Amino acid sequence: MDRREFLNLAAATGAASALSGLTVSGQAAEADLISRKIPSTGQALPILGMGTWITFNVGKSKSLRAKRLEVLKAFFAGGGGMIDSSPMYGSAEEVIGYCLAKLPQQEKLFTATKVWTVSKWMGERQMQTSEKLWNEDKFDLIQIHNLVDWEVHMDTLNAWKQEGRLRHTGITTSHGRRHGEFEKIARGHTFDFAQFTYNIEDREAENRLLPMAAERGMGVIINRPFQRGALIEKLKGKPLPAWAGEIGVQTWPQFLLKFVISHPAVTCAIPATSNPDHMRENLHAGRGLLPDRAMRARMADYVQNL
Amino acid sequence: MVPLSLEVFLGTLDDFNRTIRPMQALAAAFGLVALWVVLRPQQLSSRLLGLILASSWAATALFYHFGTFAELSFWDYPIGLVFLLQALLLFWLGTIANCFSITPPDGVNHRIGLALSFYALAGVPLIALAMGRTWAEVGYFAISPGPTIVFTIGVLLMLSGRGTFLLWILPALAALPVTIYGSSLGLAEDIAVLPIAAGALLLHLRNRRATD
Repeated sequence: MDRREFLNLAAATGAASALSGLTVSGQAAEADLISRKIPSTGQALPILGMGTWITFNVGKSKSLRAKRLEVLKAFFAGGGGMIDSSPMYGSAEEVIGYCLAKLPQQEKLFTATKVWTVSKWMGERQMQTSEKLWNEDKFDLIQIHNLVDWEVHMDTLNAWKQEGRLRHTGITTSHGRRHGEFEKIARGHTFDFAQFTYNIEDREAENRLLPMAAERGMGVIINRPFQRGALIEKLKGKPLPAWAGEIGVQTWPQFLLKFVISHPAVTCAIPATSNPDHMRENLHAGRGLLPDRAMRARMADYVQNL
Repeated sequence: MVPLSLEVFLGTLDDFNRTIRPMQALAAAFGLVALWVVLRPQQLSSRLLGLILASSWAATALFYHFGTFAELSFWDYPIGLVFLLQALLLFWLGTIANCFSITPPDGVNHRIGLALSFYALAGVPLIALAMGRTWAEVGYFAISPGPTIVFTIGVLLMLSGRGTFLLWILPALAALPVTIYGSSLGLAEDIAVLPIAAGALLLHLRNRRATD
């Protein structure tokens, strides 16, 4: 992709302000996270959300639920406003519902879950169960998880959206799987969001999925920005480059997140953590400066050459 | 694709073991009875062995997989189903059809089978304790999948008889997710289950070929 294409993509997704050199995002005050607009509805979404794979699957344990409540408090205190989960994640949805009930109502919370089963009947039952678990009468987003029975669920999601029972629809994949099929489906049908894996080491999405989403006016949610912690583990003990301070980066997780969210087609990334301090550290990456194209290339080169 | 952390797994196992205490000791006693039946074959050996093994697989399916861990992991539904099917097979072939016959106690398979069964009863808990876990953070025979699979495979190595080969299929299948879980969570005793199942199956096949 050349500079012109990159800037066109940025303009198309409303992210140009973050790309004109090392600038403070026009939408970001010191305490606020940078936000991006959902292309299909124009609603602003904080650029960092919260994933819940493994981290919120703590079952009935009161002590672990109390710890996750602290994570959620740190998330909201830091300006976070989007939570993503799935019925596939064991008790995560139940734990989210439990934690949300313990906190003051979050008016701006963007609730996202998935449908992960076969058949229309099972899909509807699962989505209704998710609503009960979250204590949510209308999700902001329901996504078809890993393309499972996508044709059936797409019809249901569109029907729910038309009936006003759902605000946005989406489709997901992860681990770089089935990108060809994913692209074909997303090009042939209308979804508000696409969710897939993208990080500084797994950049396959830059070739097709990210440009496709921008072209189709889809919001993009990025999962596995740390490769489930493997990238942080790999970089632990390695020196951050001196120039990382130019974009306000103090730690490797912030470096990795800044790289992901600075792609102009990305609407938000959803790192997961079970540690409130890590949550605060992650959210710092969603404030202030975002790297421009040249800086992104420098970041990728630096990590590749470590 | 294991959807829970080691902290959550051990915490849930801890709650489970404390809730069902003293079933662990009772299950171990039944395990010893099963081994006594194998070592001192009598007229009712097959029926009793079938009943004990079937009960251990059914209890693991109902209480461990469906009753406890299915809430945390979608894998526990199909794995629990495999355990229930194996329980039915063991009950049918051992207790109803009276098909089990015990191999002579001087064979290599017999000695290895006995060692595996004792390892499942005592070795697995000891390894876990040696690795710094508490008694409640340990899997036990007839209560957790790993020790139940290994114990059953040990007993199967000491059996012959019509239809018993069928009983190897589901334990070998169930060993795969147990080892995947073990690798993902760093549980050495569970990582060993698949290699143990594969090695024992090879021994059994070699013995079958030799006797054919």
